Amino acid sequence: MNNPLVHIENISHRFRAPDQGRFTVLKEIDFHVYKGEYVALIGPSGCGKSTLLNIIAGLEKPSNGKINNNAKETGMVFQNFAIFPWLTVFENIEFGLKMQGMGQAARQKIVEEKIKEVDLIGSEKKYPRELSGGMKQRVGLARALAIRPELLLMDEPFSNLDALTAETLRQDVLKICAKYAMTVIMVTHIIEEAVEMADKIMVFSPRPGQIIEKITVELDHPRDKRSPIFYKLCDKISSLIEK
Amino acid sequence: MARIVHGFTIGKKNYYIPTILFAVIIPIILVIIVGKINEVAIELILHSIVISFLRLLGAYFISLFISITIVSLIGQSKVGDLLIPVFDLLQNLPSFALIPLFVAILHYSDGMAIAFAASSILWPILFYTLHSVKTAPKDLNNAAQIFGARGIKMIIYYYFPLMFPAIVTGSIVGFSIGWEAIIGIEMLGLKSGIGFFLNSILASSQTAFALGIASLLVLVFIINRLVWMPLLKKSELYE
Repeated sequence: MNNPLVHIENISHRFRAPDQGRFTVLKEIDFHVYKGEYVALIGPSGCGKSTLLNIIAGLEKPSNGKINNNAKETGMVFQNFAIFPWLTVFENIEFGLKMQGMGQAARQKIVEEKIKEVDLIGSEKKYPRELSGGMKQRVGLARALAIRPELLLMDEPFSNLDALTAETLRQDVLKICAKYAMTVIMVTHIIEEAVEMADKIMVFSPRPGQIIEKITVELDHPRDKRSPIFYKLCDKISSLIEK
Repeated sequence: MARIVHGFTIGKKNYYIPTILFAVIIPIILVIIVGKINEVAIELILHSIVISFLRLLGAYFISLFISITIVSLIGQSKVGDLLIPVFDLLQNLPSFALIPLFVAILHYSDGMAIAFAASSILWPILFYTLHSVKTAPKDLNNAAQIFGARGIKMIIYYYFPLMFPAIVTGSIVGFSIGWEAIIGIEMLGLKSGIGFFLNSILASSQTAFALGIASLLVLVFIINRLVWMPLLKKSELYE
């Protein structure tokens, strides 16, 4: 196999909280992500999944261990959308490109393409406060895709959406990821979501988060969520988390 | 479609500006007429107001620059948390207690008046902006960083828009504090400006004093309606 795009070696991370003193949130995390893989990080709340995502994104430094993110560009989709309220849909999507110093004409072309891709046509001039949760997350996704990321990080991207919107958006994300053969690391606490979307699932223990099992999902897309294998995998993960 | 800002209707067809100008021109004409009838040197009043206003503007922009720089540098760091009690202590120090210090360093001069007023205007802008950055969702900052905002780009494209509503509200409060500081220091020791004029004219002409106050009110009204209110409305977009 080729060199991994993301190489995580023996990462541990400690936090200092005013009421709990110093505590370990992640312990000896070790895994690789190869190009084109869709990896889900799943585990109970507070086990450090989002912290690990922030470490991969370069937003935090681990207390111990080594991380190599070899992606030229890393995009991120946030649980709370994190789109800028002072910018329109169009301006939010072009933000990363503007930071890269790309010219206006090139930016416009890419943004228009992404607006089509995530189905936001007609909303270009709207501000975030005029959008529904699903539309906000589409803006977040388009902003991440606009920079043509080699690695896409998603932190519980569907958990703040209603069930129907989440399901539609999940299908859209799967299509887009397949189209660009994108490498994805997604944090989720929804077992079915992980099994439906990911090729590899890292199951985390409660705090301090450790990987208790690495599961490879060998089901073809689109996955039948009512198939016995699907249920079996969900049960397996559920029992691992409940242990 | 019309929108309402502090009880004033701002029309899309910009009836607002002509209306305000009309509301401003009438009092100015009245001030000039009353001044001419009573043989008050209106030019002197206007000149004094312009001098005071320029001092205030100088102090305001210094305060704004310092606030934005401090908050952009330390707003989201632990240093910021440590400095908040220090800032709080300093802002509670009555600024008039510092006058002897400013006089000792800069004597009674334009520079001294500007520095003194800046030491008062700074605090509301600093605290409002600091609060806006401290309470901003962490994800927004992370998003700005992930998508490439660094250094000056982070300030221009992230911190400044994030702080904008706080800058406007802090500026409104700061500007009124600034007027007090400028007029106070002009009354105390400077030989120019509207504070000096009002202080020196009351004994000889109550009409001139009243016209000075009226002119000051007109200027405050203009700034409030033509600058702060539209900015306040604009800041709603940033929240």
